[in-house]
Amino acid sequence: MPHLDEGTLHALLDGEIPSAELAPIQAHLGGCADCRARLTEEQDLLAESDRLIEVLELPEAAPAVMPVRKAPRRVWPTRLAWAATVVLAAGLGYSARGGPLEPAPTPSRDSVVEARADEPAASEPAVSPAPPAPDPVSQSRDQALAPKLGAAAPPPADARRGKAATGNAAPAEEKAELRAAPVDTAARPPAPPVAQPQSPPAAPTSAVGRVGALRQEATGTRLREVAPAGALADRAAFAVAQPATLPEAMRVLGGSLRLIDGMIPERLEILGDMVRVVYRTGFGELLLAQELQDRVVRFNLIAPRGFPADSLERLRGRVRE
Amino acid sequence: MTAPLAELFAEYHESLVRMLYRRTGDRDRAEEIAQETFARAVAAPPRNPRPWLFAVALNLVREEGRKAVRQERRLVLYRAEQPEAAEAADETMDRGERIARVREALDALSERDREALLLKAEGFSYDEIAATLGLARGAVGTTLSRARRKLVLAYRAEEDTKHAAS
Repeated sequence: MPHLDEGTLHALLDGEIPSAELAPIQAHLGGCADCRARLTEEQDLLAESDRLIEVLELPEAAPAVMPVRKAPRRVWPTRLAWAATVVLAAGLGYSARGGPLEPAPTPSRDSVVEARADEPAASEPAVSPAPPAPDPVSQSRDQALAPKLGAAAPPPADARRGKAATGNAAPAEEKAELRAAPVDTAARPPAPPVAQPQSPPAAPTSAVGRVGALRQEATGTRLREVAPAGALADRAAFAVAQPATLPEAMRVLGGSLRLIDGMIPERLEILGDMVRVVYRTGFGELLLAQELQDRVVRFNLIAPRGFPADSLERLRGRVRE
Repeated sequence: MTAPLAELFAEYHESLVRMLYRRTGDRDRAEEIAQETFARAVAAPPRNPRPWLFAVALNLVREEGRKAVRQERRLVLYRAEQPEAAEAADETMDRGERIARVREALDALSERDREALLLKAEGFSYDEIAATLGLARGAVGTTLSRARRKLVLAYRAEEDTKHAAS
């Protein structure tokens, strides 16, 4: 095979080489040091180009009004964004375990519920792979939580019921209120990022305690967060992270680290048992959260607001060790 | 089956405005063009919305761009984004200056290269870029590689000139 031209190298870096054509290209790279060197150069170029474009952030402005043919009617962006994302989520049929996306956290958050109310637009779907052997206990727990997670910011209650992924709107709401209480210690300023271990409830009276106990039984690991151990995405989005090196991250994960093929990470973060690989995109930060659970590394992709669902799908397919 | 317009708006509006802002340097103008684009979608709901919306928007930019008034306004914005006279240290640039330099570098690109780059920054796939800009899909990789190289080189060249001048 002749040397790879620049267009091919960039298509490779962008993950746009059709799978059928991938093998000969990789074979060539395996045997050609020149092309490997050029690939690295192009990768650096790509990263710098991305960085430059991201300097042009969108300045703040008033919320937009959607144009209609008749007299203009003011439509709240929040409700629109929320409605759109729920429809997307239902359409994708994402697994309950993954749950929808949460907006990227800021360290100064006081409580999960407050923070959600502040965000101008609600969550997007985080498509996560179905875990290899989903245990029924945590799965049913996750399913109960899913409607709550789906109903992030201030959505109209009737719309939430109508569009909930499962029928369990009532118990989910109960859990929502109970979540608010313990969670406000979950996000802490600097030093110890992950919240204190939950005292194992001898006779759990609240839904929170009950969920926590279930999770403890199911996985046999010590419960780490104060909040009920929701989907990986949930914890990943809200805990405060410590920057980390690659060896540290691999140690936490028991020797392997997953990355998205063709993308260059911005940084690594560790939150207790979880590692977060942070990628910069034109929409903000894309997080690849991963954690060792039952000796298996589970991961979830958390995309920033506005990130196209099909691109997210594509990237999910490119997560590799 | 076309998506209801409200969902179209919710899903693409911010991305479209951001791309238009990066393309024009003018937030207000970006909003105006986005509004005009969605108004046209109301009149003729597109089947393949994202390429359609962005193609229409980019066409509007090109049409308006021909008016001299716009050119003048853009120059004014450049100046507004520059820092006030005086002392920026050699190694440190404040944000306004950095923004202006990136914009200058972007302007060094051909229109097609610039648009391809900005669409990619909005998460477009190669197929979508090809559809939006009327390119052959096989040409997208080459276009992007050239655009990225030129952008970086133009930016670095500006830094060198400014270094030399001080």
